[in-house]
Amino acid sequence: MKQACYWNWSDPMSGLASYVVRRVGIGILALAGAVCVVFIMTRILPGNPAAVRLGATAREETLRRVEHEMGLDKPLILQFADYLGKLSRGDLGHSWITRQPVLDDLARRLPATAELVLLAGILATIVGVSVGLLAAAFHNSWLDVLIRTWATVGASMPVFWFAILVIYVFYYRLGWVASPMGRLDVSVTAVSRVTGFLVADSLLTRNWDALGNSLAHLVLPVLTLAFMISAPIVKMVRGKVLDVLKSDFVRTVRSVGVTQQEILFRDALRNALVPVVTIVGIMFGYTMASNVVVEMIFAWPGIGYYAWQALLNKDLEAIQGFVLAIAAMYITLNLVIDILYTIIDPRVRLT
Amino acid sequence: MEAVGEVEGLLSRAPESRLSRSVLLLRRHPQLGAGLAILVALVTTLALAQVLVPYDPLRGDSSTVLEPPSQAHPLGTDSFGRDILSRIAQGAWLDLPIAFTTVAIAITLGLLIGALAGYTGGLVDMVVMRATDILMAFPSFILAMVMVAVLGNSVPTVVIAIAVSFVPDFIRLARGEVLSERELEYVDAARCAGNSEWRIMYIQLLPNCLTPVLVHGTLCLAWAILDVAGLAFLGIGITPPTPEWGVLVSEGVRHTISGDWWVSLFPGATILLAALGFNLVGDSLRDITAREERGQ
Repeated sequence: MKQACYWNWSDPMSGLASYVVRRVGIGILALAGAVCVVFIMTRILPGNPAAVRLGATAREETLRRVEHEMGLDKPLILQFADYLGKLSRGDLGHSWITRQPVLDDLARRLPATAELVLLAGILATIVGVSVGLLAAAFHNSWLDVLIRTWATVGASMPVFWFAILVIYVFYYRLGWVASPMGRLDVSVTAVSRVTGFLVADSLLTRNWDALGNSLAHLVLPVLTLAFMISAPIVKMVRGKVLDVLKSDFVRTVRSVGVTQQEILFRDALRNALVPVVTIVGIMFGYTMASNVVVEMIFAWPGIGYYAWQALLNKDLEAIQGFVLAIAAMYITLNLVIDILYTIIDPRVRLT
Repeated sequence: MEAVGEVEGLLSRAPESRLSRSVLLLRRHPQLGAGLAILVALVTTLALAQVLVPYDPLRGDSSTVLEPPSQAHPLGTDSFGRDILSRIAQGAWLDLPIAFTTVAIAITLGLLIGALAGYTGGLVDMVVMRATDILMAFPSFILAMVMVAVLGNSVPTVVIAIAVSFVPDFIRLARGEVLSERELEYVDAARCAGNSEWRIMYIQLLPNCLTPVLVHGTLCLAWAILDVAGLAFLGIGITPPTPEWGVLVSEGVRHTISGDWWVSLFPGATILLAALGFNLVGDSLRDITAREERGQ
């Protein structure tokens, strides 16, 4: 069947189904690949996981016993089959630190990370888009230079150092926020768990102490993470808006007599925002990486902190589970974004 | 008569010497000047540190524990009485070579594999692209984190882990350039002249991607420094007492909370400045090469 080489004006949804199917297929392949890579990373790479777990002073018999427990004495193919079998049942293994199934560990800690990342992401997007727009509107002015400098500094900033700085200024010096230890002070009445998001839960259960306290604990980590995420957003929005402002159709619109302000907010912003959606996928990886450090510094009980503990303690199954979860989220996110982007801009479907 | 004089004036204003052309470049792209200035200043200060402030970065002096910045110790001392400036300077000998080695390895591997994939096409290309896609399904820092945790804490593993996280981008870069040049006539001509396929691939086609590689490579240098320091701060890869910048920051965390701000501040500022320098240079190189492409 001959494929049309022009966009079908009468039906914007044409070709969408086939694209979605193709894209989901690629996603599944990527996920399968990720599963293999995770397995390779933790088994085939040099080093004996049992020895790593037991330490250098372990006795031979203990080593053999733990190896047998971990299934390391079986041939690699069988190990891989075991691994796949477990995965299909949703079993990501057991963490030898918490003695819980890894899946449960991750699920329990996910809301903490989600609260942090979502708040930081929203803040970063609002601030980043506004500032980027501002920079483009006042192109080449001192404001533009200042904003560009901020974006470059933000991209060069070591997140751990920024967090420490922020803690020193706002907690140690000014005392404006709660101590950088976890989500809630021990002295505050615990919040009954509805969604796992402390702010929402304390609102729902009318626990005003907890609400204030949890917000006070959220400020610094959210600020830190949001600063890191905003830098690339500012750069990208500024670049895209500048491009749109130089384009032909803006020139036409301007010649008709539309004011600069209208152009900025209506045409430039809308056209610039659409490609910005595509960087959300890349930003996820960047955000998770910064998040591990932020959770570690603020003792935030999320999956990033869990991963860090797992790495330090060589908790192989937990590391495996964490990486797989991250890869799965990343692949799914990119899948959703690609499909959304296709709905917005159907020209992409024909590729 | 005036027109001739004007043309002569225009011609005489065109910079002849390399020096004046460089100056013009720097004036047009202040980012480049700023970035280079920062890097040069950083390297010079650190190189001279051993001369001006001759303390042993690894030996502690219990009589000068946790002293704030002073004449004797410009950046203060840490909890073991070690001079912080000396430790930072020592750390430079670790961080900067690691960053360059990492990027060099990533570029080498990436270009070799990418050019092969782009030129050969077919099954090889597909395998390489799928592998790259899978590798890119993991955020690079997390990939590096896991690799170092599994391989063990040492400098070589950090270098390898971070290099691996950079390789996919260079593969894509090389592959893209080779793909777009592959069908041009000069490739056929080279083949007729008797060049082997390998020679065409690596000596004729690959140099085309030198410019984007330079730009991306410089940015990767900045990321390498941030990644190494980040990993070290988390306790993965390079560990105390090695005076790596990230390790220095982590050593100072508990002191910052209790008021001794200088222990973490200065090493962290060094990381920031180094990354900033490379980012500025990389960004300006991108602007410059993009402009050249547009013919300005």
